[in-house]
Amino acid sequence: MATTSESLAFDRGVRSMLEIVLQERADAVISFRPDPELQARIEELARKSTEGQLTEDERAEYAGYVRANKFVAILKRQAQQLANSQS
Amino acid sequence: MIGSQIRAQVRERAQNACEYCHLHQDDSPLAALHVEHIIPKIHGGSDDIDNLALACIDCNLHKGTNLTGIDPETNELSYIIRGTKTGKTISSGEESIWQARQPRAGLRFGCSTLIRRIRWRCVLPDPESILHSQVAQILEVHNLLRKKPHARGQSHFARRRNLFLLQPTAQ
Repeated sequence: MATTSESLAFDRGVRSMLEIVLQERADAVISFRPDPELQARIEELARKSTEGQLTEDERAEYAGYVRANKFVAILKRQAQQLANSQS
Repeated sequence: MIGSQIRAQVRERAQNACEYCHLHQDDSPLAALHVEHIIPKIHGGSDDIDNLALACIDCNLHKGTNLTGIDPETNELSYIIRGTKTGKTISSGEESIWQARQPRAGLRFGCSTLIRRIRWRCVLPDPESILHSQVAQILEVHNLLRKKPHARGQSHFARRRNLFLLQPTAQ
């Protein structure tokens, strides 16, 4: 998949902004945990995707979670880097 | 239903990383990596550990259901992906533009593992389309996964039986 290059470029593109936003908030972002209901919903969509049971709406919803997952991953990584640089 | 013990074994084998793209669980904060069927159950895939892979939601979404389907009645790979030039799924019964050929005869490939090379015929009108690109990437990832050395230094070939590699072919 081409997601590595895409993620790295996105990472670089938002880094400066996130450094501003994450000041004072890095610890909260690092310790963030998704709610179980959301995780269960994503798990259900993953299972349905494997078995070809996604409706068009569900597929769009699943794609949205994939994008959100990347965004949150980058946010957490930036927060971790910021915390490391400050320690 | 995949048992919790099997799920744990798959997760351990994968070292908690997606077996397609190697994304680690730590980098997937919203979703737990998902144990999925390589050959979907709707195509007769089993719950055997060799038919299971740990996958991130990105790979799971892009792989979908129709990559390695085998018709349980004929034991042939067929109609792996149905789609239009824009990549949209079309309903059953319409002309499929991606088809699978019969597997060639099994090849002995190192050790005693039987490797089946499966050739794919692309009859897509526009081979440079997005769909073509996506499928080519998926096949490449699939083959890398099947050939990669095992984490404990043991060859994948030595560990698995009846591996199959996917090959895109010219029109």
